[in-house]
Amino acid sequence: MKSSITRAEFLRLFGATLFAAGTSSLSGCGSRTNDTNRLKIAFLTNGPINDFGYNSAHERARLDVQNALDDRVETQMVENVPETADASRVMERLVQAGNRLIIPTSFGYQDAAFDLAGRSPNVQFLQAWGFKQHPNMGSYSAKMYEAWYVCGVVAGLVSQSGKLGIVAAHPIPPMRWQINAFVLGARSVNPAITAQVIFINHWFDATLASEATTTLIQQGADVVTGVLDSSRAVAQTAEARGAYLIGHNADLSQFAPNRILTGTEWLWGKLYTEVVRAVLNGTNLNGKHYSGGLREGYVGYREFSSRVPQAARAAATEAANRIRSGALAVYAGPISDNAGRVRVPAGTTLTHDQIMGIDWAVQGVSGQ
Amino acid sequence: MTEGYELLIAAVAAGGIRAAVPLFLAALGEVFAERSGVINLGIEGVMLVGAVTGVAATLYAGSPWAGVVAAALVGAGLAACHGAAVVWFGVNQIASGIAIIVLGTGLSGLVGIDYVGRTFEGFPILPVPVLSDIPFLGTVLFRHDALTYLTFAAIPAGWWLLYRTRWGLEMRAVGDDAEAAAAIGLDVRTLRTSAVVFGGALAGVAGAYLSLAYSQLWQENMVAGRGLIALALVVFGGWMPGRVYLGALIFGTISAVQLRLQTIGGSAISPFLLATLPYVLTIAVLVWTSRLSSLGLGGAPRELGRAFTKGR
Repeated sequence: MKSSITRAEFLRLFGATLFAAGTSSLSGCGSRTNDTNRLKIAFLTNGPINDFGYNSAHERARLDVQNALDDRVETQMVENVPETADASRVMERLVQAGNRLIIPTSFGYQDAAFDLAGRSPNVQFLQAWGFKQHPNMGSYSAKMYEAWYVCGVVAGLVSQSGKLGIVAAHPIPPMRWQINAFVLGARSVNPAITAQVIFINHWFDATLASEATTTLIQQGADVVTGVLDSSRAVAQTAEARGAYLIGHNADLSQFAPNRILTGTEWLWGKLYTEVVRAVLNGTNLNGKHYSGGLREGYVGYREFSSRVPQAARAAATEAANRIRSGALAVYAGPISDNAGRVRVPAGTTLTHDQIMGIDWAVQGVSGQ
Repeated sequence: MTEGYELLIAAVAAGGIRAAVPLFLAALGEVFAERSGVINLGIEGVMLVGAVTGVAATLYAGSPWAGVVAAALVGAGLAACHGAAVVWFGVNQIASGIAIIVLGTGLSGLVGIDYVGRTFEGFPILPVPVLSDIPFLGTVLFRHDALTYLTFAAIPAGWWLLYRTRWGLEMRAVGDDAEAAAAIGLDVRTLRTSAVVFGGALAGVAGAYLSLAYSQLWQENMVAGRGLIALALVVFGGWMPGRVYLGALIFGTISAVQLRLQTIGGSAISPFLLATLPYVLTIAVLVWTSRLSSLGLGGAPRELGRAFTKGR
C-alpha cells in the first residue's frame, strides 16, 4: 500500500484527465466527411457553446457558414479552450489535422495565434478583436455599440422610473463601450435617464449576476440588462422581480417571456461567410481587419416584443436606419464622461479603434 | 436613492445570509471530514456535481426537494471515491482532492449540457408569517427560501452531531490520534470514510442551493470558487460549526456589500479594490487564526492529512 502518489503518477493522471477533456470537446461538434477538396475551418471558443451568450452566437455563425458553403467547407468547433498555453496546443493540433483556416473567437488567443501563424505559412488565422498583423493572419470585430444604442433608445422610452440597471463583468474597455452606447441611446430620447452599473468582476458567475440584478431592481431600475458572457441569470431575475429586460448576445426571450423588450445580437455568420468566401477565392488575409455594424449586418437587434410601445418602436427603428445610412454615429461629440469632463468634443466622432479603447463612463452612468 | 439607508443595510444583511448558505454548508461538511483527519480539497468539484444533479432531479421529479436529496446522494458518492482512495488505499489526500475537483468540473459540464437553458421551479422565497413583518429583522432573517431556514437549523445540529453524539466523539478521537483510537477498538477507516461521505452530502446540498435556490439555473462552472473559499472558512472557523458560520456570514456579507457599495459609493471606490476585499479578509483571518492556534484555541486536528496504516 503506497502512502503517497508520486509526481510522475500525478502528472500522468492529471494529464490523462485533461487530454480526455480536450478530445471530447474536439470530437464534439460538426466534423463532416473527409473530403480533401473542402476547406477545413476550425473555430475556438473560451466557453461552452451552449451558454446562451457570446459563445453560442459563434456556434450559430459556424453553422451559418456550413450551411451557406456546404459543399466547399468542413467546419468544426472546439469549445472551452482556456486562454493559456492550452490554446497553442489545441491550435497546433488543429493545424496538424489539416485545418487551413483557424478562427479564434476570443481576444485572449491572439498571441498564441500570432505565434502559430509565423510557423504555419499555409494556414490562415482570423483573430477576433485582434490587431496583430501577419501575411497569413487577419482579424475581425463588430460594431456592437450600434445595436446597444438602438436598444438604449427602446429602454429610454420604456423606463418609467428613469433608471436603467446594468450588470457588467469587468470595468474594462470592451464593457465600457457597450455600456456607454446603451446609455447614450437611452439619453438621446430622454436626457434625464440615469444608469446604475454593477460590475460583478466575473464573466459567468450566475449567482452574483442574479444578486446584482436584484440589487439594481430594489434601487429603482425598471429596465435591466447584462453586459456579460451570458445574461441568463439577469433575464430570470428580471422576470421574477418584474423589471423589463434588454437581452444581449443570445435570444433570452424564453427566460423572460413577459419582460423582454428586445436585445442585441451578434450576426457573425454573415461576416464569417464573407471572409471564408474570400479565402476560398484565394485571398490572403494579410493583416486585414474585417469590421462592420448594423449596415453590414454583422450586428442586429431582436424583434421588439409586444411590451414595446409603438412610439419606442418607431424611434428605435429610425435610429437604426440613421446609423445604417451614416447619418448618425453613436460616438459623435459632444460627449462628456460622468465626472463632467468632455471626452468627445462637438464636431468630432470617435473612430472604431478609439471606441475599442474607451476607459471612461459616459454622463448619466452612476458608479464607476 | 429610492432606498433609505436602513433598507439598504437590511438588503445587504439579507444578501449576506443568502450568500453564506452554500459557503457554510460546504464548510460544515468539510469540518466533519477534517475533524476525522481527512482533507477533502475536492469540495468545489462535489458542489458542481451537486448543482447539476439538483437541476436534473428537479426537472425529472418536478420538486426541488428531490433535487436536494439527489444532490446529497451524488455528493456523498463522489466524496466516497475520495474517501476510498485516501482512507483505504493510502492515496495522497491533496492529489486525490485535486483529482476530485477536475473530475467534478468535467463530469458536471458533460452531464450539464442537456440542462443548460432549462427553466424549472426552484425554491421560492417563503416569508415567515408575522415574523417577516418585523421592521428590519423581518427582511434580514425571515424572507428567505426553505434551504436558508434549514441552514439556520444546521448550525446547532452540526454542533450537536460533532460534540454530543457517539459518532462525533469517535470521529474526533480518530482525527486527533488514530493510533490511540484504534487501540481502544475504534474502526478508524470506517469512521473516517463516514465523515468524508457525510461531508460530501453536505457539499452536494451546498451546490444544489446555488442551482435550485440562489440562481435557479444550471451553468457550467457555476460554483465559481466557492468550494475553495469554504476550505479557507474551515480554518477560519477553527473547525467549529458556530465559528465557521460566522466566517461564512462575513464572507457572504462582503460579497453582498461589494455589489451594493458600487451603487452608493458613487465613483469614490474602485470596483477593482472592492473585488479584492474577500482576499484581503482571507489573509487577515489566517493571521488571526494562527494567533489563536498558537494560544491553543481552535487548532487543526492533529491527524489532519495523515494516512492511517495499521502498525505504523
